[in-house]
Amino acid sequence: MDLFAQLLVNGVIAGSLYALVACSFGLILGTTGTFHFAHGVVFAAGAYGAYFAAGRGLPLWAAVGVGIAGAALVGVLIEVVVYRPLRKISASPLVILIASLGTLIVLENAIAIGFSTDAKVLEGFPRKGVIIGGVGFTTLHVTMVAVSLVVFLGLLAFLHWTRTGRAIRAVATSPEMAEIVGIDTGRVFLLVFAIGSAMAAPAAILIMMDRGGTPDMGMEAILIAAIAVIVGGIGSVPGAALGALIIGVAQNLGVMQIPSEWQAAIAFGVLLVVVILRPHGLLGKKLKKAEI
Amino acid sequence: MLIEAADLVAGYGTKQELHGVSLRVAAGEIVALIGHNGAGKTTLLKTLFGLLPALGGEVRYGGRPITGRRAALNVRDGLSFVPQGHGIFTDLTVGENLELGGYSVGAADPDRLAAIHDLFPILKERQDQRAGTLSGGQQQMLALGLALVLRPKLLLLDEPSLGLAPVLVQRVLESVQEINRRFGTAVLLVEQNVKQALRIAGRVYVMKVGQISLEDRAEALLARRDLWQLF
Repeated sequence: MDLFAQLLVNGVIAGSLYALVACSFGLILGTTGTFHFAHGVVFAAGAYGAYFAAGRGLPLWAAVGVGIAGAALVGVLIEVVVYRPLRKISASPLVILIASLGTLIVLENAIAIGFSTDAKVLEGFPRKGVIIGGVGFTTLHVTMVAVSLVVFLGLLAFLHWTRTGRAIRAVATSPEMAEIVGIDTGRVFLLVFAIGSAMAAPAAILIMMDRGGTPDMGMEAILIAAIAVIVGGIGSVPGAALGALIIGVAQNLGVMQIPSEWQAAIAFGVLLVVVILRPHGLLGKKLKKAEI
Repeated sequence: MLIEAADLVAGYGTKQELHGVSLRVAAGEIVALIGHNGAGKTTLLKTLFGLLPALGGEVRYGGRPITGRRAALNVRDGLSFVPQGHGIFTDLTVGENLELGGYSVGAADPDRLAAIHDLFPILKERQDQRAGTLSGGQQQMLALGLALVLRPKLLLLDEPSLGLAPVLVQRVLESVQEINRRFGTAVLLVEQNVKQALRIAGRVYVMKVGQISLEDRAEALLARRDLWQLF
């Protein structure tokens, strides 16, 4: 029972970090229609930005700020330099996907050239161990869950209760209608890339604090995020978070029965089951018209 | 003249759909634009509104040239467009849709929203309902309401009755007439239900393969026995 509880808590911790990346990836995909694989390197850029700033003597909170701002900047630059010109010439989604993968590989290697491929750990977080009812975790793990929850709720509040948030949802629903009511879709795309990129950075920074990070740390994160978005239902931010939590918990509980190196297979297993049983995802839309 | 197009040429990419279209709509009038599928009616509305670039010719609005001006600026200047099919945001609530109607000027004017609720009371009753779950007729009312939030001078309507049951077609076209009467909004109406469109319009243009083939009073066209041979 203790093992089950421990693995469940581990699953929630992992799931909450996955949720940050999945919600940000899902926000960009749902609004701009871009399968933004390069989000993986934006994720890594957040962690390395914070690591770089901390190495220059900045206090940890300021280094975290630099990492988040750096990730937002990289995300926006990718939109402006890579995706926007491709959309302008009506490039197919496949071409944009390949360009995204190419960007991921090029920038990942650029980070490796700058920082080497050795794992880097961001020090300075006051980490303490806690044991409650036989389940152990650290203050960093509590921070991971809390940050994820705050960012997730903040995003939902922003999307539903602000004028700009409604404009983002409008563009996600129908870019043409958005233009018809006077929304600048290009500006909304930029904003979504900035917000999505800034959202992914805290997860990367926390991972670098916990177990260290390498230049390719974004690859696994983006794969899990993509699976979580499909499991939860494309276009649904709560769906992406739910999908991420399910994958995190399933991967960790799965360790009770199968070796841990099969964790990635568990994520794809969840994807397969959901796609077969509910192709539009757990919280994906299935509209039914009412009678007049 | 409220809007005037002269020798307008437009299309999608390299495919030209309009071959020198000239048309005008005066303030407060309803003008019908009829023609077969593929005649270029939708392309014309999109070009007038600024969603498609003009490849040649000129569009003047209120006497000033607006050719190639972005749709967002035209909206602020009193032009409004209801596209074919879903002229709404299906994932947002009815209330959020109407609020977005005022996006380009900051926020929707409460008095104007009240006037829209007065015209379509169902939109107030269904304020918190997701727009995509409304019936076809209600969605069309919402599309009209959304287009009216800024109290436009000219409404470009692209087949508002598309996909609706006959009884609802009549209701939607009556709403268009009511909008024109109540708010003095000029309407350029593209409609497949030709006779019903002609009954509410003052003038009519017939389009054929990207050109205006006929311009007449709607009443006169309605009386012609060879109406169906005209397009």
